[in-house]
Amino acid sequence: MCAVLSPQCADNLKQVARSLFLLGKHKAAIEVYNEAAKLNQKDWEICHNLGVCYIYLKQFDKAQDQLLSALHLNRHDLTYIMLGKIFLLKGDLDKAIEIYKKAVEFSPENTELLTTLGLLYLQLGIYQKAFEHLGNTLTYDPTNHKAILAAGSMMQTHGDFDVALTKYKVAACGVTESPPLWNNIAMCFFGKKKYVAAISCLKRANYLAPLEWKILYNLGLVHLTMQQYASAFHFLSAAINFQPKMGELYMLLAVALTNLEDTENAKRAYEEAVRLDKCNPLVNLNYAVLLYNQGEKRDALAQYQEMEKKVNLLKYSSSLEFDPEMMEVAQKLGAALQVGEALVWTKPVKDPKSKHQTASTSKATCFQQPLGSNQALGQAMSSAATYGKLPSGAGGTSQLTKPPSLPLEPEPTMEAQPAEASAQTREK
Amino acid sequence: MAEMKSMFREVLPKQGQLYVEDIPTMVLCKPILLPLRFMTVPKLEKIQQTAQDTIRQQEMTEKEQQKITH
Repeated sequence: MCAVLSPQCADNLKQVARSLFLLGKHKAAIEVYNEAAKLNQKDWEICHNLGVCYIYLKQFDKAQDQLLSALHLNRHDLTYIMLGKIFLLKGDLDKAIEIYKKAVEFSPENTELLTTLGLLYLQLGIYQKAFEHLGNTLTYDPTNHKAILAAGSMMQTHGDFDVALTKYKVAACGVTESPPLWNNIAMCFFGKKKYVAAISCLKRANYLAPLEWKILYNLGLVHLTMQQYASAFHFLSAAINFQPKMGELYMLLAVALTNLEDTENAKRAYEEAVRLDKCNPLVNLNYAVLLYNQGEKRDALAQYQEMEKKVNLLKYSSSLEFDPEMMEVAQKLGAALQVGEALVWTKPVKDPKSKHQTASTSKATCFQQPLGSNQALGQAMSSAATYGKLPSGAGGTSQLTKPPSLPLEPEPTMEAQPAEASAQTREK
Repeated sequence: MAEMKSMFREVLPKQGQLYVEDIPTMVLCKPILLPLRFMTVPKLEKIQQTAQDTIRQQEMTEKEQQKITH
């Protein structure tokens, strides 16, 4: 109405356009914004909102142009955030990081920018910077749920369970019904060998999010550790429904089956595990153990050699530590199979405490490469926990494979996690 | 034979799966348990039905009486 009454007023046109935008009529909104732009060329809001409309229409290049013009006219955090989202939607992580870096320079106290940047660095495996930014977020806002979760998971991976737990306590006061939070808390307890506490937390997480494969995986793992093989089987088969291409899950299932004395199906599970997994030597080791125990030495040897190949790959590609228990079993099995000089861990055997004295028992996998071997980062985390400062050190080299999914303002759009696809149960 | 074959134990991973981000996901609606009323509902319906019938009959008889008197 107002636009009709005084058509020369840019503000009225902007309001009309905004209403159209909120109704989801993005094309119409763009037209009205263009009208308004004719009246007022130098309005950053018009450029910004045009950019947002184009994002919804998936015309990312036009959106980018508009947002960049908006930035030239008048810098605002929101514009930076939208630009960053465009790059993420396009899959261009490096540009996204660039934009967020500039944004953080412009507005160093904006926790959303800091957290997003931290998570991006985490995704690329640049752990030092990730932790720095997440730590900064927490200095400005100690109850920031996102930052706590991310920073806590980094600390946990490094073995600092107590520090992570104190951080999670703060987060739990704010957001109690968060399944990922309860999952991580549970795995802290697991790391401290408090299995009953771990199970209670996991049960809670599972109640809140029954379709999450990670929670089901962890439930299976803890039950296996407690030698409750039937329960473990139940949870692991549920997890496999959601994540049918993960070799490790089949390996754990096979362990459960072995201990439930179903050797035949255990072997089938191991076969699947070995077929799917490309980098975790533990899968082959456990299969070798089963085969050896069954007296099939030749097949056990074959699996053992596969394990060695994977170990070599990991040794030279990253400075990871292996689980001492795994190393011990591998050496003994190697001796039993009479592998001889080809034994992969001969050198570390003679000097098992050579390089890294960290107490963390890191597991070598593709899905969760641990940070445990990076001592500088470890010191950084511990000191950050107490003082909130960070010494400079070498960055880690491993990668996490989970992409961040960011809410698109004003409405959140949720990217489906790759794990959400349900699949047929693998029959035993 | 000579010696006992030593049995090996499998090695379990020492670290589980962690979440780095809290992304909203789909959840199932929690089931609501309805109270069981399958006996009482038909009974109530019957009572209502009979009450309505008696009222209708009464009305009919009243009408007929009025017709007769006029």
